[in-house]
Amino acid sequence: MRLWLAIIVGKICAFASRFFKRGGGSSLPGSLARRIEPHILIRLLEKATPALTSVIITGSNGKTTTARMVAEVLKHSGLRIVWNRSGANMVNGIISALIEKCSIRGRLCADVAVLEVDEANLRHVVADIKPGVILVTNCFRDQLDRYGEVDTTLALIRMALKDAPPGSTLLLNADDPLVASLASGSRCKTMFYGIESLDLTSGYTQDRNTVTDMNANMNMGMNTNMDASDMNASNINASEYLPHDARSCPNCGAYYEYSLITYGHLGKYRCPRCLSSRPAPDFPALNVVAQGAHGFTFAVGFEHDSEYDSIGASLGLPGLYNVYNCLAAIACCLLLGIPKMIIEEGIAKSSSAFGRMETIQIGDRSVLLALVKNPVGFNEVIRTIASEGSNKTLIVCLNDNFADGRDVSWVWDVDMERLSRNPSFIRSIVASGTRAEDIALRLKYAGINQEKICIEPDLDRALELGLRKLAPGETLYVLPTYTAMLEIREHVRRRSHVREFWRA
Amino acid sequence: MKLIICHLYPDLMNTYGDRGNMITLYKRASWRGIEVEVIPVSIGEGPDFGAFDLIFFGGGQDKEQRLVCQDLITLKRSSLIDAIEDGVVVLAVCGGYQLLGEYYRTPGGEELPGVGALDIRTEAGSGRFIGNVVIESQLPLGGAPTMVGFENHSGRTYLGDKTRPLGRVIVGHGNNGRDGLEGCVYKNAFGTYLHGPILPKNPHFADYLIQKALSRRHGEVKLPSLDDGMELRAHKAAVAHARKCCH
Repeated sequence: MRLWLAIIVGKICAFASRFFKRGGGSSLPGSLARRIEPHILIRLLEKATPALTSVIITGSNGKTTTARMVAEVLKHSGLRIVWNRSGANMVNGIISALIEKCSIRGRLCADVAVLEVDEANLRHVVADIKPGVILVTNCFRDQLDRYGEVDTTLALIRMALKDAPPGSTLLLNADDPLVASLASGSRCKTMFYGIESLDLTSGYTQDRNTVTDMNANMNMGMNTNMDASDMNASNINASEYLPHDARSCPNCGAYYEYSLITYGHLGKYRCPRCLSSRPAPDFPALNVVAQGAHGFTFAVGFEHDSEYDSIGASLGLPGLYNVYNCLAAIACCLLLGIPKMIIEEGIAKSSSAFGRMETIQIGDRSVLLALVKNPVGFNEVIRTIASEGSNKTLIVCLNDNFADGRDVSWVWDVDMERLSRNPSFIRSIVASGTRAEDIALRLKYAGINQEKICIEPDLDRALELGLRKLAPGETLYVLPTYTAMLEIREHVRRRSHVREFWRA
Repeated sequence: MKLIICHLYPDLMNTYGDRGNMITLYKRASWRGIEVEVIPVSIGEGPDFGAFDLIFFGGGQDKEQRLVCQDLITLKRSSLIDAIEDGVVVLAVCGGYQLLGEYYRTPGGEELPGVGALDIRTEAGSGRFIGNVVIESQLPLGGAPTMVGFENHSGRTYLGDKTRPLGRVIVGHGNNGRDGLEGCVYKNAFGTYLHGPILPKNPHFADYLIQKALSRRHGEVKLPSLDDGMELRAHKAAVAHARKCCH
């Protein structure tokens, strides 16, 4: 009876918030329903028939994109799925997604649940959900003030995995030493994915200090091979402070040696002291080749009935981090037993997850929205937009609401200096959001001419200002933090006709 | 004129945008035509700290802090104390601030010794102090008497007789959430819990440090003023924002 009431209230709430256009109704229905029936999550899953397989996706970056790719492939294979699609990854968001897909009597009409789960919420749901696959993407500094520090985030995941049933398969990123270390101490069967070989010569602007000559830098914690911008290259260079969160071996404290660095602290690492090293991936990405700034092609190796086979992937998204997202999604679908051909087609079809990076047309101008929420992600976005063209107009929106992280000091860890390396790259930047002045100041100290920086805390007016600076056919680059994204996307939508994200 | 800055453990103690402090010192000196040299000093090195004009020591995570603590005491302690006694300018933030003190007492009651250069003591507290901070400073900074930043620490620091506070807390918790004090000053050494990072939005404090640092070697130095419109706007906005969030 209580379950029934909780479902009804949740469904009415979701309908009402959609009807009145109060955003996507992403987590409020779950919150109300849970107040009525605290055990609603486990009750809903118990009633699922015959057996619902669940996939949990967690980690610092890439959860939404990966979940979306997995969901696209599963849908393409004809399975009925439920997923918390709008990035609502706390417990209430997950419950909202389930309520939407169940009948009034609580019967879930789905074969697979694809659940993106926030690291801190993982331990509240793992035991209840009994997932078939638990996928951990990576572990970066993100919203430090909410969860403490990276070590805390990792500890949260590790603790949650203790409750995972032995029947679950743990799918880990072999290239992230922090994530790979989760394998020890888990009762589950563990599989790894990772990037095996990489060719970035064609059109992709890779940080000079990442692929080559890394060992010296990693050992010294500094490097000397940055381009001279207006900061004296021999002294402070940005990459000295690149957020390598896991440079030292958790077993013995020595610095890792890398034979390949893909980005951040991810790559092929080995500890020179205790000789622990990156586990060999069960799902290696081979021949990763950049297709200009627009995407990648690569192959994913896997074993099928003790025969070696591979899947070809063509990815229409920029940024090496998306190769990891795609690779993780493919590995996950293989574990779920989806046929190779279905996976290839599904991946080709999948588009970028809501807001992570999308282009919206406003008349004869376009707006590129790219979520920025931590230094590594922000650097990748800058790297991507800096790889072509000049005379660009940007809006950077820095909010400090709870979901963004209250502490905005992380913007000083972003390699903004890259934006000023070529003086003609930026035409104009609008600094916006609740901490507009902070981001403006950061840009000034990154060497961008003050005259080009304009402060407008109001997001709608900032958008207006940015659009006015565009000539027909040009693109406005909008880089917001999480809550700023939710708001500014609404303003863009009003000016265009974007599908609401909960229907996307 | 040249400003020689030592960046202590840039590889290990660089949490929370501390890099922004280095960028600010570097830029504000360069804009005035002062040459800047930054010398990173990390694990295993034992330089003469008296040879630097300014030493910056940032915060780190617990794991790194333990590594650093051992290295500090074995290789750097006496030279660092001499330098501070001799008036070298030091800015130590959060973890760096704690490590320069007498000790850190863990929740279990164990006292981990610090460098002992500052007459301060820190003990573990329950719960973290997280949020925006505004303090009123007693330093002769000129311009705004306030300083703004963001704190995130579980340690509670108490000042001894030999140190003065950096300022009084207007918004936030400060050293320990009890006595209303934030940071410490001893000779030309400054400790604080303020991230943000502290220097970009407090350009008066950044200049104060640069001026002190240069004056030790070159006699009384006067810094030409800069166009600080954007810095002061960010300072004011941060003060207003902190007051709004907390009241």
